[in-house]
Amino acid sequence: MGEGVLQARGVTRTYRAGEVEIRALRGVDVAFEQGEFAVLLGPSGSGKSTLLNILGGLDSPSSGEVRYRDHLLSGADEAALTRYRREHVGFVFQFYNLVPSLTARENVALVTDIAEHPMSPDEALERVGLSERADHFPSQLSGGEQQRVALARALAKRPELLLCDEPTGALDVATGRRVLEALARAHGELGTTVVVITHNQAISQMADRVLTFGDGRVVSESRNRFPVPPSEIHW
Amino acid sequence: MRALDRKLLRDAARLVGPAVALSAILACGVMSLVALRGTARSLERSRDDFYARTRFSDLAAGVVRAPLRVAHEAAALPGVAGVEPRLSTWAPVELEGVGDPLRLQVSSLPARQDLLVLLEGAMPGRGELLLGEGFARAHRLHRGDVLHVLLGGQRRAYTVSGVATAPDAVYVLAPASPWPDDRRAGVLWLARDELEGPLDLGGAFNDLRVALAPGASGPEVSRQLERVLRPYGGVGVRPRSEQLSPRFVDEELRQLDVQARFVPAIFLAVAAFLLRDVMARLLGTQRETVALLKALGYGRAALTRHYLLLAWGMVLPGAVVGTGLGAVLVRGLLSLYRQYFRFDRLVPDVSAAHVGLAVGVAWAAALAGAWHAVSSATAVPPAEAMQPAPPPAYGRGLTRLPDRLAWLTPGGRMVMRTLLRRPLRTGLSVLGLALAGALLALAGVAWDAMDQVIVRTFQEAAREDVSVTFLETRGREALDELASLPGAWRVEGQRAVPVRLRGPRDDWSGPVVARQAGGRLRRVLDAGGREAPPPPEGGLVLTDALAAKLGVAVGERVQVEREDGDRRVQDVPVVGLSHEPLALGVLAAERTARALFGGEQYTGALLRVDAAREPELLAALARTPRVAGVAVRRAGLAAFRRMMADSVRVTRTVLSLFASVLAAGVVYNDGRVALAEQARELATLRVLGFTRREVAQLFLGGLGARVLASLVPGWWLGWLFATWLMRAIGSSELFRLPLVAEPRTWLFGTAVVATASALTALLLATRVRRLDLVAVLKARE
Repeated sequence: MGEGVLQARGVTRTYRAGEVEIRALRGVDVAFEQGEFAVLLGPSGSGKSTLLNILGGLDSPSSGEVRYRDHLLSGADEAALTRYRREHVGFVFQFYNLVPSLTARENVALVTDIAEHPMSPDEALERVGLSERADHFPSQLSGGEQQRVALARALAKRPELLLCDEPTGALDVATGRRVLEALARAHGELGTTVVVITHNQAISQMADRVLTFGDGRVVSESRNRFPVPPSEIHW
Repeated sequence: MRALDRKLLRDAARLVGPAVALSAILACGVMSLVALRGTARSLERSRDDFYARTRFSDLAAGVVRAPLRVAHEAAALPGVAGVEPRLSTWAPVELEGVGDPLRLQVSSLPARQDLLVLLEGAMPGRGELLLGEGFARAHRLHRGDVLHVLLGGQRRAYTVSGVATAPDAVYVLAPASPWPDDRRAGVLWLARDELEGPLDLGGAFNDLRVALAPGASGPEVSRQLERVLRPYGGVGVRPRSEQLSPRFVDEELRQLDVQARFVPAIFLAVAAFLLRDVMARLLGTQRETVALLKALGYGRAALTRHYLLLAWGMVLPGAVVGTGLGAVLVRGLLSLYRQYFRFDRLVPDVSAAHVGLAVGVAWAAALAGAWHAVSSATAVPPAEAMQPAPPPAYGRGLTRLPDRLAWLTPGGRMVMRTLLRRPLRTGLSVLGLALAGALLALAGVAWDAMDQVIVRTFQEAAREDVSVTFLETRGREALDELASLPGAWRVEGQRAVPVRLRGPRDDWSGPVVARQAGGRLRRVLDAGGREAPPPPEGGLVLTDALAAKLGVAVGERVQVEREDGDRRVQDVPVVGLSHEPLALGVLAAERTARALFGGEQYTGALLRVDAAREPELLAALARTPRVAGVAVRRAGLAAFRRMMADSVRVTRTVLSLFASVLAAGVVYNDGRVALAEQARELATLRVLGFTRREVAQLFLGGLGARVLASLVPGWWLGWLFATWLMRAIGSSELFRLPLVAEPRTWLFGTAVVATASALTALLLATRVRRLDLVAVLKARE
């Protein structure tokens, strides 16, 4: 495995739930290269979300080392992780996590206000095809539109890393595809490293690389020589 | 235990925080209700019991000198149950080590011993006196101590035989002193034969107390009595309601009664609103549980009962604690009253009815608060309720307001829109905080009013150092005598003639005061506190409160009946109005007084004194027999400040505590609700890279906005309450408190509310810091 922008070595994560010890990650070694589009597949409880949270600085490993370029994330304090998220990472979640009291444009502005070299909120919304809906509140948008606002919010800071946890999980096929198209376009245009978690095998056709999780480890890894554009994916 | 009851207990355990906030507020309400009502009831009962045991007379009449057979004549009048002829005067008293002039009201011992209550020692024999409680306590005098009393020009030593109190000596005011001062004035009793000689009243009396027969008409008996006493220099018959001591007691009880209605109502209302909020939030999180229970077959009635029990369970600790603290506070308040009201005993009397009322009101508040939340939650059909609640809708109505504020950050918009989306709820929490501010403003306004009374009475209107009241009306020579005292720089005579004024609306009896023409030691003030010209000649100048009471205006005439001497009745025009904190009074120019009442006569004088020789002058005055009262302005001021400081300090401390509890409770509840509703948003912001501090700032900003929004309404409500309160208790016949508020009052209120809010908010901010990002994001609300 080559040197990447983001790497994890020997990462384990153990939770205590009452008397029970849950070992969510049992030693993961993985590295992501600049501009790569990776998909993490695997059943529920296989550890992929735990890894994504650790890679995104939302959680810390119990042991092992996580490194983003020359920053050591494992063992970093809360302030350093916040700075890492703020400067380098964009997130997209299954349930959008928009702020209901802010319009689409204002939700994006939340990020552009604190980022260093952001694009304008309008440009970000333009990239996901939502310019006309900029003044709508989340309660006035469909699920797919809300997820695209979330994507615009994640992209607006021009992140080096985009982490998506089941971005189409709550959407039907057609709207899911529009979200993936926006994601693919952003990846192509901005050169962002993208890591997507999904249950949906079909989505892995888009990826440069597919990592399959099982029981807290990476059980297999494959590369797509010819990634398929979202418009040609069916599920 | 049934499963549903078990759930009840677990839900309650999860609501400990809100329950504590709620209980604290409720406890304040219940405590104030129990304490104020309990104190009022205790005082009322103690008063009634004391008056009944000591057979407090219904009427009191003064005469110059009447032979004892006149008392028998009075006793034979229809409607009279019994009479008590007495000898009574004000006399100078000397006490070793005390330089101030002391004046005590000296009365002959009543024939029946049960007309007063012996607190310690024994009834006086020859060469002994019985001392009133206030004066005795102020100077720590007990049986065996010796006092010198100047009677009929002779200085005699008397040994204290005991300490007592009587129904007409519950609240003692010296002549020329508007406030009680136990150190300088009081009462004492001597055996009748000790007084007869010095007062030249052998076989006679100058003070008659009359008990009415059941069902007798007070005014009718008074008229008969006046007729009988007139030949003997009768100076009017006073019913109990016009006598100073009982009037002050009744006045205080009336004030207490108003407060007992006012303060608890605020707390109980806020508690009800908070409880509604807590229940609404709880049921919001239990939406699916409610649906599930309904699906399992629990009926609406069972669920309503279930949640109402929870609500009642939450108010119960507040009611219990409030009742307990209220009962304790009753004792505290009574011991405070005990210093001013000399009942023989003040028995704390917290009735079961008050506790029942407090708990009942608390439960009713809980019912009112929870009913709406519960009934709306249980009304949703199960299938609908099992679905997740729809996302909160924005983009309509008030939430559009911040759109135009271009300068507002997205965070600021979040805060504003969240507040504006539920305007009623936001409004109610702002109201709760405003009420906290208002409570403090209220206490402050009372303080400021007192302060203005002090300034007006003792600094602006009164310029004399010492005022003297003569034992009887005297001529010019009395002023010359005073002028010859050591250190007397200036002496201005004044005359007070007891009259009854009759106007179209009401009548009033009191003195017409005339000061020597050209006098400079007393000024008349107008409503703005500025110096008004001295009373014009040709009529009377009434205080505006008295004019309103009588129903007369400037230019109209009022009937004046002289209550001493010839009882002549005259119609006199009102030539002006004045405005004084001592509410009811009449002034006349000196020449007008001579025209109306005849002669150059004085009943007292105002003195300006060389400060260095004041002690010498006071010592000389103390030995002057024909003086009934000596009031030292500086001492009067100190006595007033002492009296007010006690009650204002207690009131202010208690109200500050209450207001803090109110503000903290409201902020805590708001914060918990906001945290529950916005946890996901706040966690999202953290994920997006907002620091803990930034997120905490946003959260605190929402709470701070409410506190900020409450300031002006709080001040306004405080002013409104103060206006009501002053209308209800501030203007009696004894006092009229002006409605004023100094900036420090508003600052103090704001500071207390802001501090209590800030501390509570910081407590909640630690919860924001501990938000579990991953858990919050994973959960679909």
